[in-house]
Amino acid sequence: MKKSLLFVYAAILLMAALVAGCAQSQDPKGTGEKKEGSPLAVYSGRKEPLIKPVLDAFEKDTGIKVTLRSGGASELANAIIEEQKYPGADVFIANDAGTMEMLRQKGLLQPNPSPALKAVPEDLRANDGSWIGVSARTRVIMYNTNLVKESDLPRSIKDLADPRWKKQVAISASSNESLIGHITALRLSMGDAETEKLLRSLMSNQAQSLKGHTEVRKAVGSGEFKLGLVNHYYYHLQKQEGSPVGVIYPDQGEGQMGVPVNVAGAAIVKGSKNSESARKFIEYLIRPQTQELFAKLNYEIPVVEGVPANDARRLDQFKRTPVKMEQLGSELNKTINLIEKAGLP
Amino acid sequence: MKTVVNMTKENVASSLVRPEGRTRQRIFAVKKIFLPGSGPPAGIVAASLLVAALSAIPFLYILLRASQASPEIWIRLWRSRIPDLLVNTLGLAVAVTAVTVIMSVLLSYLIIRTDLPGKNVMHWLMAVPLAIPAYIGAFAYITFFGYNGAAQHLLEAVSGLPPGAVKLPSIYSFGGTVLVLSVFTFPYVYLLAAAALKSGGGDLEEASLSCGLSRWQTFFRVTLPLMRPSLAAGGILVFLYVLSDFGTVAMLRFPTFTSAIYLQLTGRYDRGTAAVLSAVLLFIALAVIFIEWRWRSGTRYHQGEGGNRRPAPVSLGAWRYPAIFFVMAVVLLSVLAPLGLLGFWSAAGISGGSLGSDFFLYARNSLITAASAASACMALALPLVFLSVRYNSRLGKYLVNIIFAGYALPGVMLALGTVLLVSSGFPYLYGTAALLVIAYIARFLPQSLQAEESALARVNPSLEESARLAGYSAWSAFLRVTLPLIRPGLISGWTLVFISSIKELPATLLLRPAGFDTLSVRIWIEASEGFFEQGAPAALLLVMVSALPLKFLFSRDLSKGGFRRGSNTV
Repeated sequence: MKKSLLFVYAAILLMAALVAGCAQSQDPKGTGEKKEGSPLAVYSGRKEPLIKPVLDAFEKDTGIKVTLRSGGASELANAIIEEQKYPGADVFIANDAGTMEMLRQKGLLQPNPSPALKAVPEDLRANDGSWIGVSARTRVIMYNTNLVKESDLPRSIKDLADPRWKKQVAISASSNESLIGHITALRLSMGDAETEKLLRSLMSNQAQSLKGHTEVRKAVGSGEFKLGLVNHYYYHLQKQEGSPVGVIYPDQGEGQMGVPVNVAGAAIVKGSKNSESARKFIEYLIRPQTQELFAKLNYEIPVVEGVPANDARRLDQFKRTPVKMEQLGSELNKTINLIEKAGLP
Repeated sequence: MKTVVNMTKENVASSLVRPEGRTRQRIFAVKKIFLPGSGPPAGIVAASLLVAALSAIPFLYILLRASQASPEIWIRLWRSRIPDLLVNTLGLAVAVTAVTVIMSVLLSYLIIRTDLPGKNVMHWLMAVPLAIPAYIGAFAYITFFGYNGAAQHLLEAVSGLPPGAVKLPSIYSFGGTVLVLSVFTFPYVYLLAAAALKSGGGDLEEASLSCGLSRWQTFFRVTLPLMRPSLAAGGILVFLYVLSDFGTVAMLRFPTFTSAIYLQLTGRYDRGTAAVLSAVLLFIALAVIFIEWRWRSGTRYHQGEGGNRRPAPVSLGAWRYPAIFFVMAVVLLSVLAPLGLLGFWSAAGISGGSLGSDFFLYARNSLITAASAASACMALALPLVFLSVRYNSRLGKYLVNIIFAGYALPGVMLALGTVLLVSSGFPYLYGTAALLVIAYIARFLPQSLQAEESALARVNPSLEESARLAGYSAWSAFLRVTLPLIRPGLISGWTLVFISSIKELPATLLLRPAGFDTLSVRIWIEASEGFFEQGAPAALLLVMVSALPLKFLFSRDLSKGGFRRGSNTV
């Protein structure tokens, strides 16, 4: 009887159908089922809990459905590069200007001439509007106040290589785009040789690479490590949880390099069939209400004038490394080569 | 996972030489093909080639990509990353292998050969750690020994010292990693060693004793050498496992090749470096397999006549209590502690609401991908198995060997290979769960192959021949005669692939579409963020799923009087 075989193959087909069905409903938390009026496909390098409220609000206000794919920024950028012929994303949200600029230089983004983008300062967006920053962040050193006295704090990023911080510093893995952007800024300020020296001394000082900045902030908060190199808002988030943490903005003195500024931003992917909706979405991100949301939820620095910055220091309240956002992108490959040369984990 | 590699060597050895005493070979005395006058049907050959291609292409692609990488990349890697990675990875593999082999020798001797109280229960308990994936074991250990973990709090509570005053040895170290890996992989060696001790050598030991050698001397000069093939086979399994492990070493922050490859895949844009690192790792794995094969095929082990009588149990005397202590310590470390910790955190989690709708979603995702992969493997293995077993075709055996060799592939490499393959040929598969299923099939097909191969080998071809003679077509004969007879093999193959797929971590992490988290991925995420209560229920569920078929396989083999290397497919 062919019944047993039919049964086996039917089971397989059923499984395949179920799997395919799962593939369709990529976001089980419900920000979208594919409908006839093609929904906006967003690839987000930002953590889901941070971007979901914005997507939900967008859906409600405009009626445009959104499907979300979240992951690491490099992972999604790789996907966009690999999907060139069949673009799967309409909008790409990344935590790093370098990643977006790199895609722009590869010709994978669409220019956006919309005048609304002028609300974002020129130095925080691409000239042709293909990507814009929607919130700013800078790099700081957070510390555990129970374990470190303010007088002992490192004043410069180079101090992290001091032997007294041996095994006491936590950083994120070198796959993290914020760290890569930071290293680009260091290279442009100190030169390749000095930067490589710093990376190598960090490693010989046994700075611990953790999976991501959330792990770093928790480890500093719990006292596992005394110092952590993070984006500024991680300090605020950990403080919000009640941990005994403090922060220092390094290299603020005369003649020192300051701290580099980066942006989280959004870009429209070339080949997107939803340019209209994509532009609406991007404009939605720079509305004052949304800007306030980024500041309130995540302590990020708003890019648009007139929006309060919760607790974080605004862009004019600290010394900023003079590095252009475009450079974060054009120098990306060289920075990665340097990181590989030093062998940073 | 394990004796799969033995099958590789058996296949290779058997196709070149004709060793005696292998179960499969007895059936193959019937060399002629039962369809008179024709070779294997073209359909089966074509299907087999396709399946082998599916399995082999990911890793062939990696080799291709590595060979295309500019010399600059090779040089840079040799100068920066590779030396440390080599030291760490090989050092870890050697250490864990040594520890597990020594442990297994002691344990198997104590449990099989002596009068240790409760030996039967102990023997069963030794196999339980197999149901605990090493990264889940690492998770459990971190909740206890990690910074701010239970051990620290306990010590502070007991000693009354202020927080932070007590600094336990860190689990995030070479020693910690060796401990965790050893404790969850030693069963691979133990089970083989125990089987060897059970199956004979008693008369040789008695002869040695009657010649005047002491018990110790007998142990070292007779028993141990007899255990050597099993120890070598088990040791290789452990060694290869450590080479390919990702979850455990990543959680314990110990940098090996797999974590370096993962870094390349998640934070870089050029796949060349990842391909080169993968090629080096693959080379190490193949070198080790090759060395062990050469070493083993150069030796001969013969069982003399009348050699299966079990010797009288050795009386432990004063050694009783240290022995019991040792065995109980192993049970504590490998079974009681991890399960207890997982249970504790699960209870905390469930009462805190971790079993929400999300949990069932993750379970559903795990279930669907694992079941799809298992069903697909079950079907896809059939043509290959037929080609290799029934038609006894050379091509079939080579194809089967190729697929088995790919089994040494670590999950991270498989993910890379799949990504490379898909990006050049099938980009529309991006963002679908099909990618996961393909990766699982490529990785775990050998388990289906092995199970179905041993099942088919036991079916006498004359049964099918009689059906043909009675007038049924080849297809009908297969469905009505063969299929029902190999059903246990089909089922055990399905089960093995299902368990392996549901536990799989690195390829799942790298290939999953957005929003499609599985249980293994959630455990990984919760562990890294310190949310133990949320990860523990998933971990416990995975352990339970892995344990059920384990018990089934284990008790089946026990009832047949011991473990047979070819058939024990854990």
